[in-house]
Amino acid sequence: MAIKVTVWNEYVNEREYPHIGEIYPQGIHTAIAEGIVKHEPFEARTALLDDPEQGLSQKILQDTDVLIWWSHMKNDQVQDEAVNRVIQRIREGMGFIALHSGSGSKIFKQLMGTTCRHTWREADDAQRLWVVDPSHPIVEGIGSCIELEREEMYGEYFDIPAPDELVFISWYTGGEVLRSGCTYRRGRGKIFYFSPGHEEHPTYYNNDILKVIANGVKWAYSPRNS
Amino acid sequence: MAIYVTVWNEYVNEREYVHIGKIYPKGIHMAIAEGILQHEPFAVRTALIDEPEHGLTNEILDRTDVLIWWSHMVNDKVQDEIVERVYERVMNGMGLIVLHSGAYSKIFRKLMGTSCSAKGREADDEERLWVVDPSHPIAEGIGPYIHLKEEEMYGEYFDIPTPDELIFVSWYTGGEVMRSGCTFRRGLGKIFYFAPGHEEHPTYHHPDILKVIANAVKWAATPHGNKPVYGNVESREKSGKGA
Repeated sequence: MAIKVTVWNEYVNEREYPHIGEIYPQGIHTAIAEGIVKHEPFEARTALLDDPEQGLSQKILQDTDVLIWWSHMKNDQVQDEAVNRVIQRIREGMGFIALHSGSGSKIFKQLMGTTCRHTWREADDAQRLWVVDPSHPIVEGIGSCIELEREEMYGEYFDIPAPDELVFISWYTGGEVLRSGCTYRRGRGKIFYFSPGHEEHPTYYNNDILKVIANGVKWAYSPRNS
Repeated sequence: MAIYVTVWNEYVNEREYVHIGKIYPKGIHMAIAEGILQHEPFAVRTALIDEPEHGLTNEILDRTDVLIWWSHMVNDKVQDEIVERVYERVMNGMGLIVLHSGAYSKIFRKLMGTSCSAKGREADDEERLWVVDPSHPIAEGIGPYIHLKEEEMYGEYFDIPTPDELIFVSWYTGGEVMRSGCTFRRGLGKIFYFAPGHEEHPTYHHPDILKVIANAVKWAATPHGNKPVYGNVESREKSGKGA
C-alpha cells in the first residue's frame, strides 16, 4: 500500500513576490509533491495554511503517514490547536519532515524543546551537503556530497538537541558549517530535519534533494497497526 | 590532586625534516606538554616510541590518568603488546586523547572498531572548527569557532562510529567538512578525538587548540563507576528463579 504523504506549506512568498513565483509557480508544496513521486509511488497530497483548519484537520492528519512541512513568514500564525493535533499524531507514529525555515515552526520547536535558532545569511553562498552516515537509508542513491550552487546560509551554532542520528553536515562558501540532516524520535514518531530550501532558489527541483526527501519519507513511515 | 598526563609522540618528522624541526624544536610532545600546562596545573610527562616499551611501561601507565597520543609515520610499528596494554588501561578508566593522524593508530582503530579512514589534502587550507555543543566542558573558554590559518584538510567521510558527543565540526577552504571533535566511551574510559595538528603547521602553539586539549584532559579524567560484572550470576533474590 502506498505511503500517504501530506506536503504542508504556508504558501506566502511564492504568491507575493514575482521572482519567487517564477521559480515555484505552483508553490513549493507542489514542487516537492511532484518531485518526490518521481522517486517513489507515494500517495502525495498538499495542504496550505489558508485551507480550512489550516490544512491540518483531524481527518487529514489521520489520513497522513508522513507530513512534510515548509513554513517561514507565518510560523507564529499556525494555531496552537493545529500544532497540538500534529504533535499528537507524531507521538502516535506519524512521520514528520521539517524543511529549512520550518525549524522555526511551533511544531518543531515544541518537539525539540529548544529554540532551534541559528545564524543565517542570504548571500548566494554555495552549499555542499556532506554525507556523514553512508549506512543510513536516507542517503540511498546519494554520492559523497550534494552540491547546491546557491543557497541561503544556515550556520552553527544551531540550538537543537544532539540529533539521534546525524546524516548530513553542510559546508558554505562563507566559512560556516551546519548539522543539516538530523533525525529524532519522539514518542512513536520519526522526525527528519533537512535544512536546504530557501524560497528564492530552485532547491526543490534538485534531483538529489528530492531523492533525500523521498528517502526521508520512507524512513519516517511507520505501519499503522504497529 | 593534580591530574597525571602522559603525552606520547612518535617524534619522527620533527627530527627528520628541518622545516618541521623549526616549528617544533623539542617535538610536538613538548609543545603540547608545555602548552596545556599554561592552562591547567597538570602533572605532565612525555613518552616516545624510541623509549623502552615505547615509553608505555606499566609503571608509567600506573601514573597516567590521561594519555595524549600523536602518531603518523610509524603507526604500524607500535607493538601489539603495547597496544593491548593501553587498550586495557582505557577499558579500566584511563582517559585517551587522540590527535590528528593518531586516528590511524592501532589503538584508536581497535577502540573504534572501524577503519578510521578520512579524506586528506596537504594544501594549506584554512580551517574553522565550529563549536556545535556549547554546553560541553571541552568547549569551555572557546568562542563560536577556532580559526586556523593553515592546516591539513581531514574531511568526510570519516569512518568512525557515531560519536557519543559531537563538539566540533570543521570547515575547510577547499569545500570539505569534518567531525573534528568527538567523544567516545569505551569500558570505563573516556576518549576524545581532535582532528587538527599536522606537523608542518604551528597548530599546537595555538592557545585555543591547547585550551581544548587541556579541557579534554580534565573531562577525560572525570570519575567513573565500578568495573562491571559479566557472565553467569546467582539470583539476587532468594525467591527468584535459580535461587
